[in-house]
Amino acid sequence: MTPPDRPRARRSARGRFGEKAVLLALAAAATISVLVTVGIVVVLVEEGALFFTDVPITEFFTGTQWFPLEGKFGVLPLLNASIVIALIAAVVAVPLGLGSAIYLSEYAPERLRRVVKPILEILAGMPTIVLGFFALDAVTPALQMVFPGLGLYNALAAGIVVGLLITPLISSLSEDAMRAVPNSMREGAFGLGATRRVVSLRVVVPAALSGIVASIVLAISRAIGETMAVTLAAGTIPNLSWNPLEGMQTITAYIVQVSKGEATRGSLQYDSIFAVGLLLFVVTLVINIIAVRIVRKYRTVYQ
Amino acid sequence: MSTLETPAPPPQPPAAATVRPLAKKRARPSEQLFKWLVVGLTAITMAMLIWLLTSVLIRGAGSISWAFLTDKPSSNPAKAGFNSALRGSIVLMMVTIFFAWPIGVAAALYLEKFAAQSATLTERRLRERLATGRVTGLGATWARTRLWWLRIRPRVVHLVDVNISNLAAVPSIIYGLLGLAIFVGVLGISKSLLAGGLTLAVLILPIIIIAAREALRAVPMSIEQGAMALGATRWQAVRRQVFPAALPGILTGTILAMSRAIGETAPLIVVGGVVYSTAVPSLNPLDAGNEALLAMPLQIYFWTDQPQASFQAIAAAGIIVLLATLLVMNLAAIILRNRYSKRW
Amino acid sequence: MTTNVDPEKTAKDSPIEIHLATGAADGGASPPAAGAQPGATSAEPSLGPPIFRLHDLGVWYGNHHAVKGVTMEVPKNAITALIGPSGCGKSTALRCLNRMNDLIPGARVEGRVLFGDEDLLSSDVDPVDLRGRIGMVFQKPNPFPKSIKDNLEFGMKVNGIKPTAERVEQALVDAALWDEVKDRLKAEAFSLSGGQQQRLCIARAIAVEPEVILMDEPCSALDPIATLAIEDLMKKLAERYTLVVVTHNMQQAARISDQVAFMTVEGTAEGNRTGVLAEVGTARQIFSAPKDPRTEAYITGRVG
Ligand SMILES: Nc1ncnc2c1ncn2[C@@H]1O[C@H](COP(=O)(O)OP(=O)(O)OP(=O)(O)O)[C@@H](O)[C@H]1O
Ligand SMILES: [Mg+2]
Repeated sequence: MTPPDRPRARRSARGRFGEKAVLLALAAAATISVLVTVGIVVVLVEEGALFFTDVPITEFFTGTQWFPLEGKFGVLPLLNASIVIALIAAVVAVPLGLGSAIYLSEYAPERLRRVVKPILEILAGMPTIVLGFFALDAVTPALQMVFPGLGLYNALAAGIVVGLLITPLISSLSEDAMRAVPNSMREGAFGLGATRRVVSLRVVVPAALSGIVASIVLAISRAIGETMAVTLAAGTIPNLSWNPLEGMQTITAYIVQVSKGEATRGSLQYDSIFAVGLLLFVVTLVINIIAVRIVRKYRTVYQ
Repeated sequence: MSTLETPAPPPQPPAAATVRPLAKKRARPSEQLFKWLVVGLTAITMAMLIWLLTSVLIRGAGSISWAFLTDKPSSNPAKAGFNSALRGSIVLMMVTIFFAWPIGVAAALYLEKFAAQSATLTERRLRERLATGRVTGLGATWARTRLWWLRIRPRVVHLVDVNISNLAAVPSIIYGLLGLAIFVGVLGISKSLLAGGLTLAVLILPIIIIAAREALRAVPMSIEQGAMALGATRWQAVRRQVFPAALPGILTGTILAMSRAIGETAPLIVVGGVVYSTAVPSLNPLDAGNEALLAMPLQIYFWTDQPQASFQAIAAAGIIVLLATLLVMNLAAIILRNRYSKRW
Repeated sequence: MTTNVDPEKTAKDSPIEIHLATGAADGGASPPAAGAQPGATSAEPSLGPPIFRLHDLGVWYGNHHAVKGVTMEVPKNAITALIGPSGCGKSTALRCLNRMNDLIPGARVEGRVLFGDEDLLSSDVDPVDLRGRIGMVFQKPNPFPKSIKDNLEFGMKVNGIKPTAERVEQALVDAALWDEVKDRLKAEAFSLSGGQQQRLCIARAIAVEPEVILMDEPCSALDPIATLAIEDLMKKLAERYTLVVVTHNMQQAARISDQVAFMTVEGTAEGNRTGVLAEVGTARQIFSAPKDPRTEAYITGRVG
C-alpha cells in the first residue's frame, strides 16, 4: 500500500491538473475505438459512393453477372457464393458444435472436459490461411475420391473448412449457455425419472436455446466474413450457382483478388472493393445485431 | 413375509409394506445411441483437427531446415526460404503492439475505472456552484456543459461498449479496406510493414480493450477502495494498486490478441497486396515505413497459390513455423496466467 | 386455499409447542432404548408397515465420509421428518432414497436401502425407473422454463403416462394450485409466485403417480403463509403417499410429521465431520421425551 507521501496541503493544483490531463488522455484513447467505427463507415460509404456514381445501385443488386473487366457489376454471384459457403459451413458446424457442446456440458467427466475443450479451441485460433491450405491440399483430394469429377476449386471443400473454423465458436458459446442452466433444473428432471438424453434435449437445450441460437447466428456471420480459406479453396471465378461442387467467388475472395493485383486508386475496380466491402459490413453487422437481440429478448432469467 | 435378517435382534422383524417389485436395469437403446452420437460428433471434430495437423506436418516436415529459416525467398522452391517472412512478421508485431497496447489499455482503464464510476459528488458540487450564482457567463456555461456530460455519460459509455463488441465481430478484411483507405490513401504511407502493422493494430484494438477490461474487472474493488481510504485519488489508486494487479491478465490477453494478429492474412493483402520481393527486411521497426510488406501468412499464401507441388511443400513448412510460433505464444499466455493468476 | 391455523403456530420464535400431527396420537408408549445404535426400533404400531428400511447407510463424497451408519425405517403413508443441524447430511441421506446421488461424480453410497423387500441401491435396479416411483421436491422451486402445462406433462411423458387434460387438472387440484392457474395453463411457470412455483413442483411430482415423495426443505424459500399452504398440502398427500421431508423448522416438523429422525454431526479422528442418525421416534416422543441428549439440546435450541 502506498500512502500519499506528501502532506495533503501540498497536493497542489498542479497535481490535480496533471491528473485531469491523464484522465483526458485515457478518455481520448477510448474515443479512438469509436473513431475506428466511424472510420470504417465513412471509408466504406465514401468510396462505395464513388462506385455507385458509375454503377447504378439497381444493377449492382439485380445483375447476375460480375465481370469487372467488362463493366458488369451484378453482385449476386458474389453474395450468393458467400451465402452458399456459409450455409455449407453451418451444415457442418451446427451438428459438430452442438454435439460437442452437449457432450462437454452434459456427459463428459470434468477431467476429460478440461482436456477436450482447449483442444477444440485450437481450431478457433487456427489462422485461416492454414485452413485454406488444408482445404486445397487435403480436403479437396479426399472429396475427389467421393465425387470423381470435382474440380480443384469448389464450394464444398471451402464450406467444410470454414465449418471447422466456426465449430468451436458454436460449441464453446453453446456450452457456456448450457452450463448456465442451473443444476437444480437438471435435478428436477432427473427426479421425475428422466434419462440423461431427455434431460439434455428436453430441459437443458430448450433452457439454453437463446444462447445456442445466438452462437449459431454469430458463427454464420463469421463464416460470411471469412476470407483466406474461401479464396484458396473456392476459386476466383464468379459463378451464380447453388451447386456446392462448383467453384465460386465470394465477396471476400473478390476483394483479395483485386487487392493482389495493382488496382490503381480511383479506378472503378478499386472502388468496387469498397462497395462490396460495404455490403459485407452491413450483412455481418445486421446478423450480429440479430444475435444480440436474440440473446436479450429470449434470455431466461433464472432466480 | 420378510425373510431378511436385521442387524440387531429386534423383538420381531416388522413386516415390510408391499410394493411393486423394482424394475431391473434395462438397456435403453436411444440413450446409448444419443450418447454415442454426441461422443462421435466431438470425436469427429477432434479427428478433423488431427487430420489437419498431420497432413500439414507430413507435407511440410521434409522442407523444414535451418536453411529454410534463414534463406531469402526464391522463385526456385528448393532454394526458397522463410527468413524474410519471419522478419516481416516480427517487425509487424512490434509495430502493432506499439500502437495497439497503450491505446487499448488506456481505453480499458478509462471505461472500466473512470467512466463507469458514479459522479454524484461532482454533480452536486456543480449544481451548488450554479445555484449560488457564484459563476456567471462562460463559467456557468462550462459548468452546465459538464453537468450535461455527466448526465449523458452512462449512455455514451454504453454505446462505446456496444461499439467495441461490434468491432470485435467485424470481418478482418474490412479492417484491410480501412487501412488501405486511411493509412495508404489519406496518410500516404507506402504499402509497407508500417501500413500493415497499423492496420493490424486497429484490428486487435477491440480485442485488447475487452481483455484488459476483463483483467481490470477481476481485481476486487476492495483493493482500490483501500487505497482511496488512505487518501489516494482514484488515479493514484488505479495506477499503484489496480493496474499492477491486473497486469498479468492484461498481458495474457495481449499475447492472445497478438496470436490473432500474427496469423491474419486478408487485411495485409488488402493493404499491401502480395509482393514478390527478395529484399530482406530490417528488424529495426523504425525502418518499417520503407520495408515491403512481407509476413509469414502472406508468404504461405503466395506459395499455396502456386500450382507446383514443390511449392505446396514449402507452404506447409511455412505453416509449421507459423503454428509453432502460435504454440509458443499460447504457452506463454497460459504460463503467465497460471503463474500470476491470483485468487482473491 | 384454506389455512386454518392457530396464531401461535405461525409465531416462529415461540418455544416449541407440540401440536402433533394426526395419526401419531399414540399414548406415550416408550419403546426400548433408542439411539444411534443400529437396530433401534422406530416404527410404532400405529405408524403402519415400513416402506423403506435403511440398514447402515453411508455416503462418501470422494474421501469425505458425509453420512454413516444410518439405520431406520420409514413407515408407509405417513410423514417422516428429517431434522438436524446444517451440514449433517440430511439432504445427502434423502437423496439416497431415489438414487439422486448417482448423479454426483465421486459420490459413493454403501449399506442397504430396502424398498419393500428389495435393496434399491443394488446395481441391477434401474435408477431412472426408480426415480419415477420415488419423486422429489427440492429446496428451491425449480420449474422448467416452460409453460405450467408443459411442466406437468414433462414428467408424464417421461414415465409413459399419457398426458391428458384430466390428469393435468387432477395433479394441479391435488397440489391445491388448480384454482389459481386454471385460466393460464399456457403461462410461463416462472410467472408464478414462489409458493405457487413450489406447489407446481409438487404437482409435477404427483402427476407421475409416484409412491413416495421426498421433499428437501420444500418451504425454506417461502413466506409463512405459503409455508402453511404447503404444510396443509403435505398432510393431505400423506393419505395417499409416503412423504419424507427434510426441514430446518422444528415447529414444522412437529406440526406435520408422524415420525421424526434427528441427524447430527460427529467429528471423527481424521477431523472429518460425518453425519449420523442420533435418534428416531414418533414426533411426540422426540419432541416431548427425547432420549438422546444431543436431540434434546437441538430441539430446545441450545445447539444449531
Ligand atoms: N455434491 C457434494 N460434493 C461434496 N460434498 C458434498 C456434496 N453435497 C454435500 N456435501 C457435503 O456433505 C455434507 C452433508 O451435506 P448435506 O447437504 O447433506 O447437509 P444438510 O444436512 O442437507 O445441510 P443443510 O441443512 O444445510 O441443507 C456436508 O459436509 C457437505 O459439505
Ligand atoms: Mg440440505
